Amino acid sequence: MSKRQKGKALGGLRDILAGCYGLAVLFPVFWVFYTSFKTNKEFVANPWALPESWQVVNYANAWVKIDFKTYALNSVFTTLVSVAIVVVLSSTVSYILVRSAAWWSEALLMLFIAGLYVPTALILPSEFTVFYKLHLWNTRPGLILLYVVFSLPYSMLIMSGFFRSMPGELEEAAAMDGSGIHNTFWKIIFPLSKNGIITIIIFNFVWIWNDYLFALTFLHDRNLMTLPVGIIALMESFKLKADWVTLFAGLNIVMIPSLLVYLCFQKYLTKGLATGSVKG
Amino acid sequence: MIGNKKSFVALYLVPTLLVYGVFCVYPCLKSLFLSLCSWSGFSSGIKFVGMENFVKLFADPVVWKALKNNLFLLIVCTIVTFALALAFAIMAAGKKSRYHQGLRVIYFIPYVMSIAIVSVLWTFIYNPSFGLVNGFLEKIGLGSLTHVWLGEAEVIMGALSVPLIWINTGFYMIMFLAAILNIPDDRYEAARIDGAGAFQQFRFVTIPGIWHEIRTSLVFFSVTALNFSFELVYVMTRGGPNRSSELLTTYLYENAFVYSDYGYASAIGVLLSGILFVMIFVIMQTMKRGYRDE
Repeated sequence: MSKRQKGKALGGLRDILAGCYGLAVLFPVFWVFYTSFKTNKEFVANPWALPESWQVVNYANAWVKIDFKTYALNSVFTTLVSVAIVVVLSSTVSYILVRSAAWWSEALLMLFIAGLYVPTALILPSEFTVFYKLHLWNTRPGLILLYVVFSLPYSMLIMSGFFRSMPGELEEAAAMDGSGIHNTFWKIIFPLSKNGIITIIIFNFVWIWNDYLFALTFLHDRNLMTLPVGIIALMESFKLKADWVTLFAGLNIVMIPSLLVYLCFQKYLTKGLATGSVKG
Repeated sequence: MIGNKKSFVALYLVPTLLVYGVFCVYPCLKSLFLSLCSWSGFSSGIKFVGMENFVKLFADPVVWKALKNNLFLLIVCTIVTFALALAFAIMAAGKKSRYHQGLRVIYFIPYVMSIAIVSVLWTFIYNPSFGLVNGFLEKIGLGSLTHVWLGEAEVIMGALSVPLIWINTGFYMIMFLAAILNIPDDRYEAARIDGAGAFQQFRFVTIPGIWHEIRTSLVFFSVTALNFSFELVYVMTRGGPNRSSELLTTYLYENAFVYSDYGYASAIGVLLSGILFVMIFVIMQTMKRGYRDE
């Protein structure tokens, strides 16, 4: 076998193996999807098979019976508000710290980014006491605050990378034209950092929408719960009732929004990651 | 103009610093302090006990078991995740076909799924009676290899490492891909002119070119793996059966929120962070030199 043929055969083998891994990733996701349309009887008889007739009613059941509506509304509200606040704060603060000539600006930026290296488990007990004292435990604003604070390190890492690579002449020109800093930032700088902004929107949307641990620890009332906590809380009762398909429908309701956000914006993600975080 | 700038700083920087200080920096410091105290929650007073919690910690067999499990997950997941991610990144960097682009998009999908969903999903996949793993093994005639994956102490940590790898591979693939695409083409060209084969190009151009990103990713992975494994184990096994999948993080959570032993929980947290910082330090130091001597 010549060297070229050997290279081609190896390349083919590699493509097949890569495809197998792709299947291993995709199949469980598909499985959750099509199982959610089966009946419980079908599921127990053969967990692999496709549904014989597509039971859309499972979704109606999941939505109504287990009060998914409340969980979903909580998740949507909490996520959107948190992401909006993070985008505003992390972009402005990164901009201020990157452009400032003050001696403390670099140190502050480091302090924010150092938050990346704090294991969540370390702060949970004392965070709990802080929340309790400030009456933020089991409140929606408290949870949003927590999401904002723990989104800052990664968001600022990405945004500061962006502003560093942006030439300073733009602002100088804007300042000469008499534009104030508020105007310059929101009208010129912010739109120009689109790739970074989209990257942090995707990342923060995904992690906040998906978060289980913070919501579990810092919320108690059922009517404040978000989707991931709701679904896990319900898993136990589903096990007893052996109502698997409604549970699968519930899993899809949680899974699909973040999947859609990712699929719509995935092409920005590679670009954003390439300019931002790999420089850390 | 100056007043304008001041209002910008006051409006954004000041509140951000304030909440970050109160809800991130302060709790970290408070955990350090609490680890030296005995405190069982809000009704009782905080009592300073010095190193007592740490003495108890090192004598606690569960801590050692949990530490072993944490290290097992970290080592196994790091090696497999990084090897897969690197291989896929190199593949995707060379090919621009739809097939490879599509695979890249697919590999990332688990990273955007909730850890709660992933945990439920894999609990089903490992289910002994109708799960996919045992079903698959029986179908291909390897029925003797079936296990109660989340119920047997011998296989449970291996079983738990698979979803962790499954989640993270796509993310690090994108990281490495971005880094590889940043390597200037002329370096590869120069290597080819010197007669370097595919492997030699990998060894002498690709790896040095992305060395910095590998190092950053290793540090990042050490931290995130800690958080991911915590939630995964908490949902899938709660550290059981019989503490065979206990992690330092799940043990900490139990001590804080089940037994209200905040002092001991904080001590576990401090131990965990100590280990993490030593690890980060070692990674940064040992990988500091190496390549990239441009």
